[in-house]
Formats: sequence, C-alpha cells, structure tokens
Amino acid sequence: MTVSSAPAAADDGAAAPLSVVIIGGGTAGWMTATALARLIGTGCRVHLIESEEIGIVGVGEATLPHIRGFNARLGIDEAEFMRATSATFKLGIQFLDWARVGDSYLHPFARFGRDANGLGFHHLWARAVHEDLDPGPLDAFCLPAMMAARNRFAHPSGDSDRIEAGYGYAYQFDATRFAPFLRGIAESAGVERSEGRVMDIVRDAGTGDIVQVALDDGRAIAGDLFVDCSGFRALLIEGAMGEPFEDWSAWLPCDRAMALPCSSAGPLAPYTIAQAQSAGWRWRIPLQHRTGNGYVFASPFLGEQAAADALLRQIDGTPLAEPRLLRFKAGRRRHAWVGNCVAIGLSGGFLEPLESTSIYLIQAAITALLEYFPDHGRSPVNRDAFNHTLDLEYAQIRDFLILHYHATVRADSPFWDHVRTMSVPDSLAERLALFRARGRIEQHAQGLFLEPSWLAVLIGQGIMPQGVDARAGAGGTSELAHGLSRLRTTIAESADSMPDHARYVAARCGIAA
Amino acid sequence: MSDRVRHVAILGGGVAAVMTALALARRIPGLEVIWVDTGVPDDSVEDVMGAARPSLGQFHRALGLDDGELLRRTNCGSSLGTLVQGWPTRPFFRRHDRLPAGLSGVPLHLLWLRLPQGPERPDWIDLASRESEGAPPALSLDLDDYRSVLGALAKRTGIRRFVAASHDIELDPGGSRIAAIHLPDGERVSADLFLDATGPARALRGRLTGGWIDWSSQLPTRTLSIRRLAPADRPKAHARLVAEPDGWRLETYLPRAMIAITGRGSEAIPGEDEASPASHLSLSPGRLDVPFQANVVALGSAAAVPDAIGVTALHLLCRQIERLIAYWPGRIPDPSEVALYNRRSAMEADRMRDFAQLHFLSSGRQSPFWRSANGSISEQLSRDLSLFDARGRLLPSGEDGIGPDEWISALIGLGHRPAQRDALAQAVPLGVARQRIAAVRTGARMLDEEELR
Repeated sequence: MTVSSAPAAADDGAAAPLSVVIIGGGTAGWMTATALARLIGTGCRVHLIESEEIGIVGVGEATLPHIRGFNARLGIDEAEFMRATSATFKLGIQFLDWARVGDSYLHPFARFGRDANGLGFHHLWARAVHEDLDPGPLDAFCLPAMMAARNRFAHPSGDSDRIEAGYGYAYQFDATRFAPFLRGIAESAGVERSEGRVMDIVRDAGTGDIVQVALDDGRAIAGDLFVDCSGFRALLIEGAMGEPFEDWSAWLPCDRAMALPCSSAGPLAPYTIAQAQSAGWRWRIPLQHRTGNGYVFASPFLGEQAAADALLRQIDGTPLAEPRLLRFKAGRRRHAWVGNCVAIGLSGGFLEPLESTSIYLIQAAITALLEYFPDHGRSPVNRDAFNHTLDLEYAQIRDFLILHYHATVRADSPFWDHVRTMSVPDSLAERLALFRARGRIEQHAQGLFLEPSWLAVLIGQGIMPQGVDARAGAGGTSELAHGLSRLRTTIAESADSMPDHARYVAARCGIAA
Repeated sequence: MSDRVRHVAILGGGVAAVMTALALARRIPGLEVIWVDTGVPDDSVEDVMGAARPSLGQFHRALGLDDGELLRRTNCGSSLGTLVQGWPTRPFFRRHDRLPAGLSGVPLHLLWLRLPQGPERPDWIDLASRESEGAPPALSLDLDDYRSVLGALAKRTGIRRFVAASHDIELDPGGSRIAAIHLPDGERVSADLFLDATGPARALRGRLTGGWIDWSSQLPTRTLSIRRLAPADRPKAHARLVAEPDGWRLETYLPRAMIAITGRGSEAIPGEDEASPASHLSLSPGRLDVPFQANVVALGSAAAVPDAIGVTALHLLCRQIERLIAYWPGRIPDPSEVALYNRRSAMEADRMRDFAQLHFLSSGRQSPFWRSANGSISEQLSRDLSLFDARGRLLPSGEDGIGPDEWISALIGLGHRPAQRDALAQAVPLGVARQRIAAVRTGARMLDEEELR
C-alpha cells in the first residue's frame, strides 16, 4: 500500500482515494470501517487491523435512538440487526435510589405531556404540585414511561397528532455481536482486514504525522489517515501522538466496573435499569438470550470483592460467568484528532454508561469524520471542526452525568457524601440555578440531551422549581386538575393497549431458540 | 402568588410597543398592561421596514390572529425572502425557510457542487429558489395599516392606553431603577416592570447604567430614505435588494404601493437624489450590552440595530417578544433568568450583525461606502468563513435567528465556494446527483425566470 502525494484526476475529476488505517476492531473499529466504506465509497480505501487475542470490552450495551439513524444510513434492516445481536427494544432508563433510596423515575426518549402555545407542560404539572393537587409523578404523563412500567412495546405510530406517535426508542443488545455483524457488511463493501498487533509506529520527522505501523508479523502498513480504535490502550493517540488525557474523576469518581451476565428472569423489560448503590450504581440490560449486569463503582470507596458480592446479591437470574473487572478513568483526550490520527471510541475518552452514551459518542465522532473527511492536503480546518464538535458533545454529556450524582440528598455512605458536596462545573451550576428559580432549561443548538432529558432527570432527582412560568397560571385549579387527570388516564389506557414486549420481539426479530 | 408581575408599562408608539402590549396582554394571565403611546419613535427601523419572516406569522398565531385575514383586510403583501442583486456574482435569493433537501448526509449546495461546472450544471439560484416543504410565506407589511389594526385590537383587548406627546421619567432614590413615568396631564404611571419601545432614543433604558456596543466600524449604513411609490405592475411575493455605487436599495411590494428604501453612508446628504418626497431615518448600528437591567427591558431598535441590509428588524422584534414571554420574570427578577435573557439576546443580535456584515465583505465595490466598513470581524464569523471556504459547511452556531439555509444561500450567493471537494458528495454517483438536482428543478418557482439572470 503506497501513500499518494498528490490527487490524481479520475473520470469525473475525483482525487486518488485516501487510505485509512483503523487500529482495533470492536464496536468503534467496525462502525467506523463500515461507515467509511459505505458512505465515502471509492473516496477512501479502508484497512482495519485487529487482534483476536485482545478481548473486546463488550458487556451488554444499551443505546440511544440515534443508532437507528446510523443503521438506516447504512441500509441495515432492523429485524436482521436485532436477530444478529440478540437485541431488545429500549424505551428509556429507569433510575432507582438516586436522589433518595426508594426513588424511581424513568428517563424516556419522549416529551412529557403536551406543550401548549410555547408553554412547557412541566410548568402546569409543577403548578399542580405547588397547589397540592397531587398530580402524581411526571412519568405518568409520558406514554413510553407507562409502557415501560407495563413491559409493553410497539413502534411509534408516526402520526404526529396522536400521542402514540411521539416517542423514540433504541436497543439493548450484545455489542460483542455487533462488531462481527458489521464486519460482514464492511468486508462486502471493500474493507480489508488484517489480523495482527501493532508493535511500532513510524512518524514523519517533519510533520509528526503517522506514516506507517509495524505489525507483529513483520508487515508495515502505511496510510494517509489513522483511526485509533484500540480502546483504553490508545496506542496511537497517546502512544504515538502523546495527546494528553483530561481527567474528570474529580466530578465522576467511578473508575471500575464489575460485569456479569446472568440468565433471563421475569418479564422481558423494554428498558434499562440504573440502580444507585453505596459506591456507584448497577446496570441491568435485558437481552433476548440473557441479561447483562454490572456494578460501576469508585475504587476509593469500595473494594472489588465487595462490589462483586453486591452484584451477585442483586442479579435476578443465574450467573453465566465469573464477574469480570474493568478499569477506566472518566475523561477525554484534549483533542481527539491530532495530526493525521483520529481517536474514536474509548481511546478518545470515556464516560460511564449511565446514560448509554458510549456508542453515541462513537457515532458522533464518525459523523463528524464523514462531514469533515480530509483530503490529501494537511489543512487543519477539518481537524478543528471535528474537535470542536466533540468538545461540545463530551462537555454536555459530562454535565448531564454529574447531575445524576450531585442532585441527591443521600448521606448513607462516604461516596454519596462526596458527590453530594463536590463542586460542579460552572456550566452545570448555572443550569441548576436557572431551573431551581422557575423551571427554565436553556436550549442549545447542539448536544445530545435536549430539554425533555434534562427535565426528566432534574424532576426525577427531586429538583422542584420554586416558581412556575407565569402562563401556567391561566385557568382555574379544578380545570387544571381535571385536565391532568384526563391526560393521565388517556396515557395509561394507551399503554394498556400496547403489545407485550417479549411477544413483540419474538414475532419480529426473535433469535433462533 | 406575590412573586407575580402585576403591572407592566410599555413606553413607545411604534410596532414594538403595540405588538408587545398585545402579546403580553393576551398571553400572560393576570397581567395589567399599560401602554404609554408616545407616537412612532424617530429612527426606528422596525417602523419603516415591513418585510417580515415566518416569526411574524408565529407571533400572530400565538395571538389568535390570522395572516390570511391581514392579507385580505390590509395593504399587506407576502414575502418569501429577498432577491439580492448587484453583487459581483449572479443574483441570489435569501429565503426564510429550508432549502430543498439534497440526499442523505449531503446538503443541496454540496450536491450541486458535485456536478461538473458547465452547461449541465444549473445556476444556483435556479435551485435555491424552488419551493421546498418549508413554512408558508411571511407577510410584507404596510406598517401604517398594521399599526392601526393592532392599535384597534389593543383597545378591544383592554389595554390601558395613554397618549402622550412628552413624558418625564422618575427614578428611584438610588437612581438604579425606574419608579414611574410622568405624563403632561399629571398622570403618574408606575409598574413592576417597564418596557422600553422608544427606539434609539432609549428613553427608559438609557436612564440606567449599561453600555452601548458600537458596530459602526463594521456596518456602513447611516441613513435610510423611505419612499412610498405607485404599486408595481406585478407585485412580487418577495423583497428585492440591489447594491448601488454608494449604497443599496430595498424594494418591498404591497398591493397598493411599492416601498423603496435607500441605504447610504455617513457621507450622504439626504435629499440629494430626490425624485419624489422621502422620509429619512438615521441609523447607528450597535446593541445594548445588557437590554434587561433592573426593572427595564429594552425591545426593538431600543435594544439592537444590526444594520438594515439584512432586513431583520421585524424578525428581531418578534424573537425578542417571544423570548420575553418565554422567560417572563417574577416581580423580583431572578438573576439567572435575567442573565439568560441578556445572553441569548446578545447572541442573537451579534449573529444578525454578522449576517449583515457578510454582505459588505464581498461587495467588490470601491466607493467609500462599500470600503468604509472594514472593521474587525467577530471570531464566530471568522471561523464560519474559514470553514465554509474550506468545506462548504457550517458548525451549529448556538442560535438560529438567521437559519442555516439562509446563511448558506447568502454565502453561496456571495460567491463563497469550498476549496476542498466534499467526500460524502463525491461518493454520490454522478447520475444519482444529476437526478436529484433535476427533481429539485421540477419544484414550483418562487421567483420569475427573468429575475434569475
């Protein structure tokens, strides 16, 4: 494989393809390879290098609705994908015991209630609470939350006039099966795959760009653009390019996860559970053929054996393997794209999977790479636009995760004392002050979590605004009470009429028994 | 709730005052609105430039007003956007809605650039002026008609209105808040909140502390001359902006008149080219640092004047009113809410300044007017231009007063072209790209064919 120096004209004036070398398989590597091969096409030549010896992190993964757009863009059929990855549907995440032990709320992919003439519904709900009308939890005004509570699922109807139309959904799946699934598509689209480990990286003395990597079998692989999907090892972005890591552990102290699959038990839930623990939280991700579990914890506050014991006590099925320990640090590379090296996935940064953002961040990086795909020149414009995009994504997600920990009244362990009293980023402090005053949430042009998400967590974690929007004052108290009651009933009836999740999955995309 | 604003007093007599009075009276329950009508303010751009954007339609809908009614009963026309002529490039169209779609991941303009230059590639304006699934046209107002229609509506809505040729302002003892407005007949108007709709006079807001950010080194227009002419033979459903040697001219088309507005620089002498009687307006581009201070909020041109070439005055006003309602304060305004209001207002006005300035950066003309505004470009505009000139893409700006497709229409129209080919666009087979472009060209036209040349 040679490095082109100048673009050569082809039939319709296209330049010579850019050669892209991806180090690492797994979800990040194969998502990147597939997207580049399918969407840049002959504009690039993709070579992915992975080693079977290096285990993939994959611990049963929940996702966000954006993955459906990614799959659709690649022409991936939903049912086929779900069968291949043993996937179930996901309507949101149920958070247990976060603000207080005994609390429960669902963060759905939907709005709450109906907005009226620019007035957010939550102001009406908050007014009802202030006037002691006892409207019930905000969840009750959200169809997918009520569906989740009843273990129901159906695709949204798409008719925007009907309340059934207005929700998103995502998947809970076996990420270790996603990579091989994508590999088939990628290799059909022309991606070359090599088995091997990177032993050495050669950089250009002048520019600092990576010129080639040397494999354990002696081969040297050259390229124009190198994508680091080597996970926490970060062989290229850190090993070769020396890009520093910004440590966010002061705000997000969890640095370990104990992961453990167990047999399926109980109804098949169309939602993920995130239950707060004494030193972190545990996840429960139901797949078709088993359930994924894990305890994300902060090692200064809890030992590994105690974490494993706590997890084993709480799983609801039979363990299918020994608990496996993962180590990580919350934070990110200062720049994800340095020189001709782009970090995608864990090499670029890590935020705990509390809001299922890991695959989203991979996808966001891939989307930015596609839009700012470089040519043979070395203009920093693409790099800067890519880095700027990811800066915003990471910062916003970080703030959103910190909120879950900080907005608590729990004082039942040193871990909770720590997170309850820690100082938070100014950006988050401002959001909290604004919401506490009168329930306002500033909308940003970019960023993963929109107003409904912030609302779900703020209210769910017990942050009640002191005042409400003045427009919520229109109408009498009994009118308000009746209106809310009718809406709650409509939503409950609608949820009751939905199909059972397990049967729905079996009918559409059940894996072979 | 004792935290509620019970009384709001609005000072001013132009569209800013009457639109705000109506919106607040109808949408904030339990609020008493007092309107001190001091007549149409001097030098208020929103009171002479009637071309609006869909934000005006939204404003009307929120009030229960129907654009169709206004079209039928007043001398209002429609506006789909602004046709821009006289720059060194072909004419281009600044549209208010979304451009027609390209293909997945590839916006229309990058798909267009995918086609080899030559006879088989249509002019950009031929594509960019095709209907898409966007919003219905905005109105182009006859502002005299509009002010009187809204004034009549205000009367029926129970707004307390005082007509006053002059007024005095009473500050509180510390000088940091407005206590009351004194009218010549002895009436003393006090309120929990005061809104300054007096245009550049800033009769209320100007009495409190707070700076003015001057944009005169970046934006050259200093005077507007406004003429009301006989209606065009065939009134157009869009405005027309034409660059001239020493300024620019904007035409808006109403059923019974054509309004011609000429923008000139500081060296121009009003009355110089009088073919017919005109009224004149002085323009000082800039914005208040902090439009919401203590118990006063400045609106319209009292708050910000981002030149007039962008045709944004009414649009800015509609968005300010919507923001004021969205963040309607309590009787004691919360500092984080006030900070939010001011921050978003600043972002919005700055972005409109950038949009106007863009037109002056690539005029290709050498007269003092066109060369005079070579002051600094904002960091954001600089970054946008670098990125667009390299890749034909824009990063999300954080605020959307001017939509991304209007930005793209203007950038492409002003001659900006990405230096690098777009990889996603290149991956689209040429035949598929041609097909999509051809499909867009079957859409209904928003401009007449002779306007495309």
